[in-house]
Amino acid sequence: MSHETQDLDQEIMQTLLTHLARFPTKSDELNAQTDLAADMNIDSVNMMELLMEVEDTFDISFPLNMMANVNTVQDLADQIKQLVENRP
Amino acid sequence: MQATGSSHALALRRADFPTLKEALDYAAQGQTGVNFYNARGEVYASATYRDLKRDAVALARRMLGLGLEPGARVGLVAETSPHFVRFFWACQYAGLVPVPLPATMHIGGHAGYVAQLRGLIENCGASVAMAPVEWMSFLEEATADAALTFVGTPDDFDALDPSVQDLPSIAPDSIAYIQYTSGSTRFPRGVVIDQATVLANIRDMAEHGLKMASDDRFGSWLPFYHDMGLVAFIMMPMATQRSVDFLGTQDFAMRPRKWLEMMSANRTTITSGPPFGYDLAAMRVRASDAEKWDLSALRVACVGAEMINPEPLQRFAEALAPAGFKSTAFLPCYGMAECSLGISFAGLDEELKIDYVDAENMQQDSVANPLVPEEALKAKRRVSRFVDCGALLPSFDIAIRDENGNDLPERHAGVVHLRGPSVMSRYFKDEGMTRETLSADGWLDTGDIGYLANGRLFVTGRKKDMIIIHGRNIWPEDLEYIAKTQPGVNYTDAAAFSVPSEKDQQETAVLVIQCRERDEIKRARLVKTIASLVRSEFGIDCVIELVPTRTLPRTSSGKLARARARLDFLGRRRAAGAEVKPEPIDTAPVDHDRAPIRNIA
Repeated sequence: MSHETQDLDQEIMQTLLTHLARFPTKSDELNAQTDLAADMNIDSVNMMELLMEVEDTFDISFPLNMMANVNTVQDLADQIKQLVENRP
Repeated sequence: MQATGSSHALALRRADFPTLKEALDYAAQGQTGVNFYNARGEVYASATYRDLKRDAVALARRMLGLGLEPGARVGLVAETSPHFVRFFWACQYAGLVPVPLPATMHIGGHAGYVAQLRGLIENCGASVAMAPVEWMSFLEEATADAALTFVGTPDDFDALDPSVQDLPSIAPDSIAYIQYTSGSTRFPRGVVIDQATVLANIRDMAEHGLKMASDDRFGSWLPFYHDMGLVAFIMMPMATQRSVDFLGTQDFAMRPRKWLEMMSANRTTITSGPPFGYDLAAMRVRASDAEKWDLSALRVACVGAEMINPEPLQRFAEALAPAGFKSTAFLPCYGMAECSLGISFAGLDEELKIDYVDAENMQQDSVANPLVPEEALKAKRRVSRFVDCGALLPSFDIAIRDENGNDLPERHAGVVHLRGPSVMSRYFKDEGMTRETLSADGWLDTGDIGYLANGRLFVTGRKKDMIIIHGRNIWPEDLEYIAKTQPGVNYTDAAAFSVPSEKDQQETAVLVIQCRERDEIKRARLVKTIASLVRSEFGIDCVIELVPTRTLPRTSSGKLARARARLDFLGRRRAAGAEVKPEPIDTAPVDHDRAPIRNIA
């Protein structure tokens, strides 16, 4: 893995964790494996706000259908990375 | 790209057409049309009704080339896009029945969404289905085991060979579309609306509810699979030859300011939404925005789809006053898919009217005795308040009835019954539910509770058991079903309903589950699993309470009594000290207004 992709991975994860820290978590810790639906109190309105932050930070458009297979914070990070790498 | 203009030489006709297709034939003689805005606030697609007719006719021929029977159902994943509009009108020219399918997704919602699509496609017996390319994989999965004639993306349809036969003639009593009233997976209810039915409603709304003029322009973020989005913003602008601007629902949810920006740029005159939508926008508006926008042309901002609280509307009006928004633009209305869309509208250019009534009388006798709030406060009487939803559109007959079907006098709350030319003909392939809802002589039992005063309608309670969150209908059966899929939870062990949320005037969903499990860890796991399933299927938080067996109340015939289960739940909360706060005058009567429901259940 190149340094650049590693940096991108870290930047995405850091952005997500920073934004997600605003929401209550049911377990003690918020990390890459936290399940967004099961472990966090985040409703669809808050989710939209989070996605907007992500879109603005990375200059991407996050299509709603991509949420289908997102369960953990890591899943979300992976989808964002894919969008960033395919950015026109 | 340029948006279509607001005015043209073509004379305004307020939906006086026998069929939707004839309405489009007329609109196609002018220069107005439909426009789509992206998240950056730019027009990314625009078509005059003339373009739209041409494209719809071409697509209708390709669809007919598939050899479909007249009236065959066409499932359309209703993302806010030009494709949906083109397919909807193609169905009208081809004599096929469009069925809007939801395009919505929650975290980890893959399986739930596919099941929902599958249920709806199966229920309407679709022969053909379309999804935009981003949604195609879900549609393919949902139709994998079904024998549809054709499933494809817009491009796939455009590659079909056109039929050489003439387009069919369309009868006014043929089906115009089927509208599913909820995204319910297991209990879908398809409202069947005929051509003449929806046009009667649009005509009524255009002439009386909105008093439309030739300089009107529509703007909306509402989803196309929602009755208000479909009827008020796809069909009504077309049937009155007006231009309309669309912002995607997801884009609105992320950036509600774009909706206001779009309306300012186009001098939009008519928009609509649930109170929640106005609240979301008000929260995001910055003072600097309001100063540069111009919303002075906006004469109608309809408010409907859920119980109306004045506070979010006041916040919106205050935030947008510098942009020239007038609070008299708010137009409370009452409607439902079973009546095509609109039923009653408050007066144009009026401030919200609120009826203050004695809460005790309302709760005990279902009588709305008016009182003066300040005096009631002094006398320590509790006050309920209801927003005036206006006069009925002239083509409706209304009756307010008690639980035995007897007509009630003025200011007595009961079940709202309606009759008239815009009432649905039936629920699709559901004779039982149709018979339960629609009488032989044409009266529709709306399931809503309300009263009449001076010819104005006040809606005081929800549909019997419906849970409405953020303007979305959620059937309690769906939440209960999720609980019942868990091991150890039996068929009769769950009850779902909603209660007022303390934090934001919205409703919160509650699931009460009878549970035999004693192990605390297993109990906690059950709660967590169900909460997570509810969140991924419906995108809402849900309070889950485990109770001992035989806690849930049943009617004499053994049916679950949800209204009573709800009162019991609130009672337990109160007893446990999680008090239900006494309600100050200026909060909505969300608690005691449920009382009449108990008598009816």
